[in-house]
Amino acid sequence: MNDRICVAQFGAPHGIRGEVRLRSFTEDPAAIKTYGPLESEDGSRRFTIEALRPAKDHFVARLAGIGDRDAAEKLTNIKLYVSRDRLPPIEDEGTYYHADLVGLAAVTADGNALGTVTAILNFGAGDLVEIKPEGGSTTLMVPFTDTAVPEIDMAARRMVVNPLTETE
Amino acid sequence: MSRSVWKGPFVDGYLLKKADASRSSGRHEMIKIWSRRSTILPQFVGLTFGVYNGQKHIPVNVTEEMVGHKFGEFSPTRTFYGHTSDRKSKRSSGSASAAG
Repeated sequence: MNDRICVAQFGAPHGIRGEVRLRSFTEDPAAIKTYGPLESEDGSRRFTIEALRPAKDHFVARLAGIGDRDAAEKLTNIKLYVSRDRLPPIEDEGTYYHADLVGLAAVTADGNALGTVTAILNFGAGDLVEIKPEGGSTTLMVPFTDTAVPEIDMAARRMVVNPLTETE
Repeated sequence: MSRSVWKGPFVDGYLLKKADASRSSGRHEMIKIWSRRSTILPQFVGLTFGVYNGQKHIPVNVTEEMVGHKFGEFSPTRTFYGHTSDRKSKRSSGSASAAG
């Protein structure tokens, strides 16, 4: 399981008072403020958002301790992380954070290894689990349904997958 | 300019045959297709198609809301995964894909 999750990224500075553009990757973009202090990729710096306002396709953030444009320029392109523990618990059964699913071992019902889950995708036709075989380059995709993924064991870090048979 | 109504929706003929064969077999399978241009018809609802995107076949579980769209709309040809962040997914019941 990923201990830390990338939730946002700083962009260019905005104005001369130390404000900076911020691109939020969270499901509800404005929820970025609720996650508390955000850390840089190496964990050496922490940023607290004092104010956040929406702009065209991003937010403009005012950060604690950043008071001028020069300081804001140094933040450009820094990715922002939060600890996995800070995500709210999911009460709905059968719902999982993508961050928890990525990295699970995919096995068949017989116990044969299929590979590792690399992504959960959605192209408009339901969620798909992308599985990368060991040593393989071509990934396998299966729908995220009870039929194709009958069992998920988070404790054992594995997912039972029933691959679709293909017909032409 | 939209397609004339009198022509009806375009669909490659072989898809209808494949869909009929899959439905009658009753198996949980993915029908591999290359026809991204075909319109999704009501008789495809409940089936799973593997729509080619130039590299591989992307599983597309056909639902009622997708009728009238083209298969290619659900199988992007360019890779952009975005960030995982705090996104979550619910495992849906497999009735749609198993109905075939």
